[in-house]
Amino acid sequence: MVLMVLMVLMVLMVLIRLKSIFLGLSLILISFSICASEKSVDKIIESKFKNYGDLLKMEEIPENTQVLLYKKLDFILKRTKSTKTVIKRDEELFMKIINKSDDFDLDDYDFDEVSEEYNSLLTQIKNEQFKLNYYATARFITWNYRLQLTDQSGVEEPLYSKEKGLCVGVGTTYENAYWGMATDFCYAYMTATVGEDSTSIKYNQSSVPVDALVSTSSVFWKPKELVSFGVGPLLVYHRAEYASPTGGSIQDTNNFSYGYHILASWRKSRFKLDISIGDLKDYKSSIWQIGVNYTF
Amino acid sequence: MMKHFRLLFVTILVTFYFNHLWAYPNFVGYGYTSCMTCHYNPYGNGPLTDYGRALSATAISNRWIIHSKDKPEEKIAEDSGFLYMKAFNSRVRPSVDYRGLRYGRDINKDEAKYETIHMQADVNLVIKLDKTDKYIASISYGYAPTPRSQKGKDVGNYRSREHYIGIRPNQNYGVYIGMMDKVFGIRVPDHIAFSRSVTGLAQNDQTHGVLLHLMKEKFEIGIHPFLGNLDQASDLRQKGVSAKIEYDFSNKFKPGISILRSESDHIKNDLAAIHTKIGFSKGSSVLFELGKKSQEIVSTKLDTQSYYGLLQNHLLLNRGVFTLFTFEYFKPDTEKENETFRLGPGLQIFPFQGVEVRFDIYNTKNFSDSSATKDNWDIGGQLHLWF
Repeated sequence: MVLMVLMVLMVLMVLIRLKSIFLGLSLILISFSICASEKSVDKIIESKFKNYGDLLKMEEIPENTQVLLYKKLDFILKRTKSTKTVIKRDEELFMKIINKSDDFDLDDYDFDEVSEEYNSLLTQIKNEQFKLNYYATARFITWNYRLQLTDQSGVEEPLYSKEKGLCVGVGTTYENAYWGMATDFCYAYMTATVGEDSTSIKYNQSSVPVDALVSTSSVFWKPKELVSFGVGPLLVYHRAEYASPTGGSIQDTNNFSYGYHILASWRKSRFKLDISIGDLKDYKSSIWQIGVNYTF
Repeated sequence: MMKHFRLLFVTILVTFYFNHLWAYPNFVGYGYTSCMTCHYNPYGNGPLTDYGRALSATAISNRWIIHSKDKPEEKIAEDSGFLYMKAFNSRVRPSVDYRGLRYGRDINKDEAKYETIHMQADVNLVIKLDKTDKYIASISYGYAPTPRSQKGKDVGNYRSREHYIGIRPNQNYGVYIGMMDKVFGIRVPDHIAFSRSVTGLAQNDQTHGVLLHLMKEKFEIGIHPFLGNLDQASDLRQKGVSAKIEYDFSNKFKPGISILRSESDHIKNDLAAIHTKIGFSKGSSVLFELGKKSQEIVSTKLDTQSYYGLLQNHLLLNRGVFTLFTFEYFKPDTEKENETFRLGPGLQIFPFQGVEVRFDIYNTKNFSDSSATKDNWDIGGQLHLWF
């Protein structure tokens, strides 16, 4: 039984293999035939008119040459479709021929249809292409940090440190029209109020300077061209110099933490407005980041 | 102690009201910079025009449940009148509105509270004295819940929130006389927003007055002298004037400035704000408002200055489905260090014309120089029906 199954599998594999070889050969043949035909069109044009530029400068183009130009468009379209690559020279020539085609009078050749198909193909390819961009960011940032206070008698109590400030940094995005990834690093200068809404703790300090390094990464989806929603990890290094209570001490002033965030963004030309809300391990509240990115 | 009390007061103030006004400036994302396109009141709120109803049926709301797939949009627009009917004549436009809310306050604390409030149940009637809306009379009358501050008192739960006559000889100018909301800033739907609640422009702050509305070139100007709410005791009525100037840089970018000055026998108010409405992509928008309020207690001459800010994005995911992210700031007294920040993600769904469902989460952070307090987390779910 097992042997039979194995044999069937082997036959299937050979067939699949043959199929892929057959498909590959067909593709090469088709590409070759397209290229060969395109070359022949190019040769005719070059022999008669030196090049496409000179031909398109002519006031009147003979009908049989108009047909050749249509074929050239068709070749460019097919090549772009099969390679999924936009060649600048092809794109320019295509547009020149289309512009000139307004003067053509061929009933059986629809230049507009080819143009529409090519433009839609270009848009699709360009939308799918990923681009690497760099940006500067400035954002308001806030969270509740958690500290540990040890008083004179050695009793430990948790403390809140409410912190807010400005985070400035740089980042990079790798994105196409549908989705992308971003990561940035910023330095936050913040101020904190430390204390607790509790009668058992007699400790309070305001305007404590806080430094933090924040790394925010996200994978984002773009439901619309200028709108995106993302989710990703956060890394935060926190450092502050809280004054110790008399006879006691404060722990956890320096800390490295991680968490996650969700964000919504909208873009207007080079500016992007981000609103992000997240959570950090060991912190006592959500972390917010609201700011503007400028893409270079 | 006073600081704690103030913090507590601010927290209660910002988390208590989850009611709604009912204008949607966010629809600048569709290219509608003026409320007048869809509402009889040129600054929004209240009954929708025929165009507004058709637009809400065919562009804003989805067509789930009640419309078959092959029903043309034209037919949906045609049936967007009262109770999904065609307009039965050219003079009378009735409508009904209901808003209900289920909310949880301080859900992260032991003393979390959940409550259901029927915020509004109104009957609206617009009478058009001509076919082109040049002369109209509008009244909204219905149920309003007892404000928390008046709990236990007989304040009357049935009243008119809006009634006025409108005279609009042409598109360039109009005069509206009666009771309506004061003209100031962006009339966002969330009246818990600081820009509505701390400015005295929330759901129960309508006033009797005369609104002059001008549309000239790309300017939209509103001047609104008012006498206060004549149903209130005369010493409590805020009498004064407000004005708003906006400029259409494009059909998706409209900044403006607003001022308001009013006083009663007890309190004097001065407000000033800048705002902008920006549309982008199709159906998505950003609203921004930054304002200052000065309030003087007449008897003590005690003057308090406060600042507020609002940043709200409204992103269209699919027809009838939006997300909202609202970021707000409030500094109740410029001489103190206390500040409140609030961030609220939300989801707004219009499954079909006449129904709006909304879910919101509000995370509030209060800052002071004397204590570090826990965040407040509140949630709200709303059902809004309008037929």
